[in-house]
Amino acid sequence: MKKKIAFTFLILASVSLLVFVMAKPADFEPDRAFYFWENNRASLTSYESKTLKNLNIKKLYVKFFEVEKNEIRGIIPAAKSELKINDSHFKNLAIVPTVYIRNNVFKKTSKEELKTLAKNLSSLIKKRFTENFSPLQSSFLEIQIDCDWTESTKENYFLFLQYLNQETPQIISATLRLYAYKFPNKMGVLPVDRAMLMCYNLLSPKDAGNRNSILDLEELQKYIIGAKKYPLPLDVAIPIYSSVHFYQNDKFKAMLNDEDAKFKQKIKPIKGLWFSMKQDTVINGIYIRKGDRIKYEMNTSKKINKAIDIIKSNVIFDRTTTIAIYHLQEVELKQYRYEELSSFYTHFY
Amino acid sequence: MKNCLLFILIFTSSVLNVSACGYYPYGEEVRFNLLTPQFLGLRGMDQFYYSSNLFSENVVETSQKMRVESDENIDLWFHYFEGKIDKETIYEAVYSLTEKEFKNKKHANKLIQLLNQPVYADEYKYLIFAKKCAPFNGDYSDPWEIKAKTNTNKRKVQIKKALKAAYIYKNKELQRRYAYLAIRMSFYNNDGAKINDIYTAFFQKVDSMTAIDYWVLHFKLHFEESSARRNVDIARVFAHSLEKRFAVHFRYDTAFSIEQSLSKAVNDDERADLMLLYTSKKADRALEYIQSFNTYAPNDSQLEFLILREVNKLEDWVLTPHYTLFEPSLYADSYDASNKIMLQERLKSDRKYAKEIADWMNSIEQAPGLRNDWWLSIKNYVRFIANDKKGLLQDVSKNMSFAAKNEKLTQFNTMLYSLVFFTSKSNSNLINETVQNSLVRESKLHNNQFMFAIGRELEFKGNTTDAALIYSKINKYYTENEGERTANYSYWKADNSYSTLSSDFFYDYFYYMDAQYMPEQVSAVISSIEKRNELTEFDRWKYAEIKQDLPKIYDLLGTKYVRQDKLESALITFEKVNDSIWKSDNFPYKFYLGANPFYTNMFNEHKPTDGDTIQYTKVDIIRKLILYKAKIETETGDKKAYYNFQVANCYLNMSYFGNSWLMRRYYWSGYSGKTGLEDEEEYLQANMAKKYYLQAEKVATNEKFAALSLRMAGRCEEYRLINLKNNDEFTENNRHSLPTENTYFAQLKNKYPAHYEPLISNCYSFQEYYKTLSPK
Repeated sequence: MKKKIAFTFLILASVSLLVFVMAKPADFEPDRAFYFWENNRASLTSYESKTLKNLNIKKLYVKFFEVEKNEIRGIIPAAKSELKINDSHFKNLAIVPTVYIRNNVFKKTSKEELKTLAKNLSSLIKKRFTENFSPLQSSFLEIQIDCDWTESTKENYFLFLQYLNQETPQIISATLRLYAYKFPNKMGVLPVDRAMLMCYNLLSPKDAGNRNSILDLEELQKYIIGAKKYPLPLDVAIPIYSSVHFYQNDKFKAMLNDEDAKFKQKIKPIKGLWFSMKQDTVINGIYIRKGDRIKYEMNTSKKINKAIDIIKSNVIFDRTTTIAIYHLQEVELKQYRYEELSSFYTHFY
Repeated sequence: MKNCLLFILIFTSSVLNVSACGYYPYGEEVRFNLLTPQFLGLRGMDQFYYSSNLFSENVVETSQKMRVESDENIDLWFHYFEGKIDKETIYEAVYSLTEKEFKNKKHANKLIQLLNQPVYADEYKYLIFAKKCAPFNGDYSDPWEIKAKTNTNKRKVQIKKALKAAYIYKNKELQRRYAYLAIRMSFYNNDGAKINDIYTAFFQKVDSMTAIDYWVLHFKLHFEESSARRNVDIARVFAHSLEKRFAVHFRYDTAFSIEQSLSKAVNDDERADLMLLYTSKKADRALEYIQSFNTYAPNDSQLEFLILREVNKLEDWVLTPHYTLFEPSLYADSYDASNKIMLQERLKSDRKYAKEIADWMNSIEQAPGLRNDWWLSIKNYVRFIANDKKGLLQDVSKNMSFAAKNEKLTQFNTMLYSLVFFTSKSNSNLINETVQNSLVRESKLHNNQFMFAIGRELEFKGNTTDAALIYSKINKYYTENEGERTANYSYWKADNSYSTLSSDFFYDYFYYMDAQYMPEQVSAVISSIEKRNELTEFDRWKYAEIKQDLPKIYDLLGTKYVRQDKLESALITFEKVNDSIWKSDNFPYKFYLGANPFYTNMFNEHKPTDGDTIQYTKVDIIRKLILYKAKIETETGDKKAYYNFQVANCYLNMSYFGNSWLMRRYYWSGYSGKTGLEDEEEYLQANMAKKYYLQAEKVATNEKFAALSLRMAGRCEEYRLINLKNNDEFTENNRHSLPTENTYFAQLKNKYPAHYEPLISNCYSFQEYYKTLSPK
C-alpha cells in the first residue's frame, strides 16, 4: 500500500513538473501592462505616469467605450473615455483600445446588425485613437473586446468577432473569464488572435459572503487546475484593486469607491473582511452611519503572488504573453510599494 | 396531495402580487415619506429631492402650461416682445413649428404674424437661423460619431455665420443670442478656445446676468480646469439656470472643500449659491449649511426646498425605523449584539438633530420669502419627528384653523394632527373625527404609508384591534408600469422574529396577524367585526374590506388554536367558517386538504397515498381527531393502539412533513425556514405524533402493529434530530436512520428483531403490517 502511495505521488510530482515546464518557456519575460478603466478622467496623474515609466510598462489597455443595447436607440456606445495622452514621453507605450460590450447586445441580434456593429466599433475606435492618442498612433496594433458572453450569445458574439477581424488590420484580442477557459467545449474557443485570461472578479460581490469576490484563491484553483491548454496564445490579468461593499442589516446595499484617503481611519475591524464604520460619513453620496457594516475586499501582495504561483504553474504561456494589472489608479497603486508592484510581473518569470 | 416544492396560499383578492420568494423591498419602497415634494409644489429642484436613488424620481407632475411658464428662453422672448405675445404662442413658434411652418406668413401663430412686420425682420431672421442650428446640438443622433467630421465642419460654418451676425447687429439682445448660438455649437465642436474668445467679446462684461449668461457660463465651465473658483461659478449656474441646473451639478468638484470654494466667492449672493448647491447634494446632516444659506440670502424661497430635503432625511432616519422597522432596522437578531443599542442611540441622536432643526425654524419663522403657514406646519412636523410632544397637539390644531384655505396644507395638517393625536397618552382609539376624516381621505389617495403609520400608532398603544382594521385597508391598490412598482406600497417588519410567508417583512394584515397576533387579539378583531353597526361613513369605511374576510379570520383563529393544541376551541372556531369555503374553487382548501390526514406510511410526506379516498374540511379533521382522542380514553388493547396510531398519523400529517400542514400554516416551502411561531418545535419535530405512536406500541398486543408503531415513532425522531441540528433541509441525506443514532430504531431492533429489516429496508412492507390491525 505504501508503495502504491509513493508511486502515485511520483506520478503526480512528475506531472506537476511537466506542467510547470510547459507553463513557462525559457527566457520568459512577458510584456508588462496596465488597464485604465475610468470614463471621466482626461489625463493620468503624475503618480500614475511615473508608475508607468518606472515599471517599464509596455501596454496600456484603455477602455475606450462600452456598448449597450437601448430599446429606442438600438446598439450604441456609452461611457466613452475622456483620457488623452499627448505626451511624447510615452513613445514606448502601446495603447490597446478596449471595448466592453454588454452581453445583451448579442441577444436576438441579426447578422446585419452584427456587421454594422463591427464596422461602427472599428470606426469609432480609430477616430478616438486619432483624437486622443495621436503621438502613440504607431502603437495601435491591437484591439481588445471584453464581454461576459454566455452559451446563448456565443454564436452571435463569435460572429461579431469574426466580422471585426475583417474590419480592422489590428490584432484582435478578447477577454477570457475563467469559466470559459476551463470549459471551452461548452463556451467555445474565441475566434480571435489571442485571449486575456481574467484572474479576478471570481465571485459575485453580492453572493460572496465572507469570501473575497475579487480574488479568492480557492475559486481560482477550481478553474485553473486541471484545465486543458487553451488553443490560443494567452495573456493574463491580475487585480490590485480593492472594493468596499456597504451592508445594512446583513443586506448588501451598494459598492463604494474608497477614494477617500482617510477611509481606513473611519472603519474598525470586526472579523476577516468585515468592518464597521466608526463615525457617520458620506461616501459616493451615500450616508453611512456609525455601526453600519462594511466589507472591505483588499488584496495583499502575498496573496497576489500566491495567485501568480497558481497561474504560472498551470497556465501555458508563450514568449508573446502580456501580464496586465487591473487597474491604473493612483489610490490603488499607493496601496503597494514599487517593489511589490514590480514583483507582480517578475514573479511570473 | 400534490408534491409541490412551494405552496403559498393566496387569500386576498387581487392586490397580493408580491411574491413571498425572491423579492425584498428596499430603498424608495421602504422610505417613509409623508411630506412629499408634491405638497409644497416647489419647482425646478425635482432631481434634488431627498431620495435613496441616485437622483430623485419624485418629479412634481408638470403640465404643458407649467413647462411653458418655467422655460427660461420663452420667458426672455416674452419680455423681449414686451408681453405682446403670450408664452404658449411663443413656445409653439420657437419649439414646435418647423422652419417651413415658421416661414409660412399666413400661419395663425401670433408671434409669426408679429415677426412678419418689417420692424421685427431681424428677430425673424434670428429665429430662422436658430432653427437651422438646432440639428447640430450634440451627437444624440450620431452616437457612433460617423458624421462627426461632417457635423463639425457644418457647425464651423454656422458658427462663422452666427458670429458675423453678432458683430453686425446693433441690437444687443440679438447680438448676444447669435453669440450664444456660436458658443453652443463650439461646445459641441469641443472647441474651448473659441468659447473663451466669444465669451470675452460678448459676455464678460454684463451689468446683470440673464438666463443666456448662465447658459454661456455653463458651456464655458466645461473647458475650465477644476478649481475652487470654478465650483463657485458652477454654483451660480446651478442656482440661477433651471435649464442647466441638472447638467452643471455634475461638474462640481468635491475635491475642494466647501470652505475652499467659499473662500473664492466674492459676495453673499455667490456664497448663497454655493450653499444651495452644496446642500442640495448633501446626503447627511446639513443644518449648518442651510443656516449659512439663510444668512447669505435671507429672503430666498429656496430655503423651503432645503428644509423639505432635510425633513425628508429626518423621515427616513427616524420615521422609517420607528414605524416600519426597516433599515435602519431595530431587528434584534442582527450581526452584532450591540447593534440594537447602537441603532437606538442613532435614533436618539437623529431625534435630537430634529429638535435642533425645529428650534432653528422657530427662530426665523417670520422670514420674508417664506410661506409662513407651511413653515409652521413643517416645524410642527419636525417637532413630531423629534418627539417634542409638549403642546404640540394644540399648536397643530391652531395652525389647522389658521391655514384652512390652502387645500394641500390642510391635507398635510390633518395628517399631522392624526399622528400627533396619538402622542397623547389617553388617545388610543379611532373616535376622533379629524383622524377619521384624514384616514378616509388618504385611503382614497392610496396613501398607504400614512394609514400604516396610524395603524402602528394604534398598535403601539395596545389597540391591536383597530390597528388590524386599518392594516386591512392598506396596499389594496397596485399597478405596474413596465414592470416597475408605481404604487406607494407599505412594507413593514416586526420587532421579533415571528414570520409567515418565509420572509421577515409584511405587507398584508392577514399574514401580519398570522405571525404576530395572539388568538385573543384575533378574537377581538372578530368581535369588532361582528359587533359593528356601520352607522357612520367612517365605520362603513373601516369594515368595508375586513368584513368580507371574516370567514378567513375565523379560519386563522382556528389555526392558531390548533397550534396551541386547543382542539375544542379550534373546532368551535372552524365551525363558524362558512362551509362553502372549504369546497370553493376560490380558496385553496379543496386542493391542499384533498388528502387523508389519518393515513400515512413510513415514508410518505406529500404525495398521494392509498388512503386519499376521502376529502376532509378543517372541521372534519378536528372533529375526528377529538373523537379518536376520546376513543383512546375509552378503548383498550389493540383498539386503543389503533386509535393512538390514527391520532399520531393526524398529528404527523399536520406537521411540516404531512399532507395536512395547512392545519398549522399558510405557507410551505422546500426549505422549512424559521417562523418563530409558538408551535415551531411541534411543526418541525412531530413530537405529538411520536407520543401517540409510542402509546400505540405500548398498548398493542399485535406484535407486528407494535413494531410498526415503533417504526413510525422512529420516523418522527428522524425529524427531531434533523431539526435539533438546526438543519432546514429535510432531505434523505440528513436522516438519522441508524439504530446508533435513532433511539426508536434501536428499540425496534432490540424488541422486534424479526421485524426490523422489513420495516427499515422494505418500502412495501407498510401495508402488510398496517392491515394487521384494521378497525373491527
